[in-house]
Amino acid sequence: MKILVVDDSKAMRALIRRTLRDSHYEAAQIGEAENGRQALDSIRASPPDLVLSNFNMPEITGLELLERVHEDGLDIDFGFITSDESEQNVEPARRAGARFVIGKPFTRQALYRAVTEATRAKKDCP
Amino acid sequence: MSGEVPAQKLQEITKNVWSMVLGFRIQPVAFDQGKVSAQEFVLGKVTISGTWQGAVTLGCSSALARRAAAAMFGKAPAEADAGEIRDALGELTNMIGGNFKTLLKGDCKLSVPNVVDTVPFGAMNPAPEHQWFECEGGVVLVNAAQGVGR
Repeated sequence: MKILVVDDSKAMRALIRRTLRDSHYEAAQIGEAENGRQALDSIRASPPDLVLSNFNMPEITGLELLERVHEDGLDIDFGFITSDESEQNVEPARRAGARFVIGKPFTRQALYRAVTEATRAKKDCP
Repeated sequence: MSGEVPAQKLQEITKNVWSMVLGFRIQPVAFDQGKVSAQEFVLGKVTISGTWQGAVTLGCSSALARRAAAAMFGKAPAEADAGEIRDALGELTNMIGGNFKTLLKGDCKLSVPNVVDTVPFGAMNPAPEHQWFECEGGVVLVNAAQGVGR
């Protein structure tokens, strides 16, 4: 499984990576991007199975990143990890096709559950 | 404080973020100038614009900021560099500011965090509304101030 973690904070990327490693995703191939533009280049070059993205980032927001991935016709699961779980963020994310939105700070269980359910839902799709 | 969100809520958010992310025990304390006047701080700020206009500020004594960064990066405090310390404080500020924003009514926009380090206490000019905490032998302060920009 290939996961791309997108966050402008290096500390948060490290925390997400470590949490995934400690949550039965130690075998996953985990890449990182520090902004939406870098993420888009990485996704186009080598599409991951799942993108875990921050919402509020400079230049390209997480939502804009998801929209651009869709414009490219790529079928990639998206989950948002955000400090701002207001409806103002959650509703557009769901409408754009995000599998989940989880809040920061998150527990290991919450991240594991969200990632596992998202990937299981994809496997179950005909 | 915020005019809309009780001070108690900001205190709960701060405690939650620090304990969940860092695993540090953090306790609210009364302001004690004797304890902080000789310290340097790392200060993070996010601004909120929209129906509520203002800023959420998180400050942390420098040694504690280094320990916080080390905890987030999973390394020893001595190995955390200045950029990592600013990054970690910025993310902690972003979490507190973002969680605070979810309690506000109406449409608001959260900025990305802005962080400055090695700020002497004398240059901070904290308001009486600032909330103070003791954590792992260091000092944390937080405030949400309406009408304050970047």
